[in-house]
Amino acid sequence: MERVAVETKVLSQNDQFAEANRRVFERNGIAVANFMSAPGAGKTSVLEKTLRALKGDFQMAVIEGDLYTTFDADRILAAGVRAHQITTGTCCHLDAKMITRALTEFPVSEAELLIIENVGNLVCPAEFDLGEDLRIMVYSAVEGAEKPQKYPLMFQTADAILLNKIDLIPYAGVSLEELTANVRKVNPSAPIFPISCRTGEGIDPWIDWFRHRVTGLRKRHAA
Amino acid sequence: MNTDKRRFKNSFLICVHLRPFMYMHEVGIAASIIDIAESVAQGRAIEKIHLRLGAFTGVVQEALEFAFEALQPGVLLEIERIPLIGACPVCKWTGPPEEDYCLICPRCNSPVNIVSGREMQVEWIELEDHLNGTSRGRDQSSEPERSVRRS
Repeated sequence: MERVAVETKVLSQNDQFAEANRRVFERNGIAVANFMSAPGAGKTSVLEKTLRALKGDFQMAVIEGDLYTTFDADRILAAGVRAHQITTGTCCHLDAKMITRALTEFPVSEAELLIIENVGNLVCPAEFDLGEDLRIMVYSAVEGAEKPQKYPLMFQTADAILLNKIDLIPYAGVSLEELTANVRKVNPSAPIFPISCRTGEGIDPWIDWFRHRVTGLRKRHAA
Repeated sequence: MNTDKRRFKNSFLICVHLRPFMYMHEVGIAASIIDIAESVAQGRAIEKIHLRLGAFTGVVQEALEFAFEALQPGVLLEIERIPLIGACPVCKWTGPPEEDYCLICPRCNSPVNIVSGREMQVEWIELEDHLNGTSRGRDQSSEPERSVRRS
């Protein structure tokens, strides 16, 4: 028997596609944000609010990941933003190659901000770099307070965490302090924005932060 | 050649028979591990694949082993678990988290950096020898070494 050293990362192929995507985005001065969450946490609702608020600031485009349906892309189009749907079939996450392929069908060179809405899933998407600049996680107050400890990786890799559906906190048997403290343990540094897409509470600070980060990223890409 | 077809068929069967786990990404990860090993083996038979797998990855070890076994029966997947270790840039504390996945320094409450636990890497593979006789030949060649050590 002969032992041969390999020393290759399992996701190295994905990482190569992610780097290629990143170069395309940087060359075109596009800031890219990857939105991730469990199913039903409110990613699409957050996007609707965000797109409407930033319409006057940036040229935007959205890539939607979903297992089978185009409901989400239809909602984005209704908000007046170009959208492309990737239906992943049996695949539980978007990978970098899917984005590379989508870019050939969906030109984004004129966009200033590209938002990718990942497949609703708390595990797999966190392992797959798509070439994004920012990872935004949406965590809803009704999912239970222990989710950051059960699915730590996605929380840990997020650049910002939107704590959605805070209007339902009185009915969920949890407190905002408990939710925030549990997120803090796995991600001590990312900003946490408590929001409610339904009432509009807390949306403004999130929009201000996101606008500021996207503007900064675009300046860096242009340099 | 037929490997791709067989693998596709196997992935498909896994999906059909295990609907609850239908979306598990460990199938794709197992396929990537096999691809990496095969590209190094260049046609030689693989006996064992050694994988370094960190505790802080989005991979369920049992699901990965199951998917691997279904895709590549007969090849042994040896998994080396790497614990999550953090290091505090402020007070220099280092160690495993005191609470599950807690990345706050237990000594000074600063955010800690991850030192290990994110690994997912094919470290080495073991290949069958080219000729059936070779393996026996090597055993014999190692014999004198042992006797030297004994004396």
